[in-house]
Amino acid sequence: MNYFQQLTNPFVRYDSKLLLYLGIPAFFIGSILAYWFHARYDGAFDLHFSTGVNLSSAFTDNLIAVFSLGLIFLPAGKFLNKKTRWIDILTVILIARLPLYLITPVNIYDFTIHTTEQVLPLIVNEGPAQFQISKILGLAAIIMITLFFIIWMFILLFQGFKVATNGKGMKLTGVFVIAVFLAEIVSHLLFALITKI
Amino acid sequence: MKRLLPSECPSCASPLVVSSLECTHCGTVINGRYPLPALLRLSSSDQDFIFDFILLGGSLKAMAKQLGNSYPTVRNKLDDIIEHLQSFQNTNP
Repeated sequence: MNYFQQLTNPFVRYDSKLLLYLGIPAFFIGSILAYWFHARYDGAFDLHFSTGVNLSSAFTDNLIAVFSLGLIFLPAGKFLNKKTRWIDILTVILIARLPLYLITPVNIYDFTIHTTEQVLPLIVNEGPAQFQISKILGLAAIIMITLFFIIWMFILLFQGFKVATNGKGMKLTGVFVIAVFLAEIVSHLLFALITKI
Repeated sequence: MKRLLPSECPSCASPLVVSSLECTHCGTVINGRYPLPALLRLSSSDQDFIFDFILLGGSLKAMAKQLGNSYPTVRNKLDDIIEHLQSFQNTNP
């Protein structure tokens, strides 16, 4: 198995217990990174930067996201294959979120927040004449980095789900896509509910 | 050199049957038409998997360790083999 396969589908080679030893610490580190870099995991697959993130909210956000994914992907896995184990699904979720945690440093010293605040109003109100090339390039770099890690996250989630369920063909793809949408909806509902409490 | 028993026709991919058996001791030759057992219709790698699985006492955990793969991967391989065997049974009960 080459390095590319190990990075995009570690679930074929490495047992769930081993991946869990990586995934659980990653969950805690990801939450701490969110606190450091002012990030919020305010959805199953979401990441936004805002000021005023405390350690407790960072952990809560991450927990809700993981819980929402488990709530949807485990029954989805059982639907595809009754032998699907919860530990395999949990491992997939924890490992798949690793790339998301790696995005957070793009907001070092609130770089992304400041850049977005400066560039977007210019684009909306004053047009291209007022663009600062360095700011635009900075924003473009953030977008490219974010996109790369988001794609990696979905590759891990899909490949992991495929291995955990032994799903094949259009049935696997269909169930996966539906599960993604449902997990996103459920996570936002949970966030709304918990912020109200 | 390991010689593999073919199970499918190389020309039209239909299942092969055994038409002649020979005794290597006395030279007796038996002709007939004997379908291959389902296990022999599996691919060579699947047959090796089944063989190793039995030798390891039917433990998927031990298989995973031996093959250097994860438990779900090994379980999936076994499930795929079960599916193949069931399809052989359905086409040739």
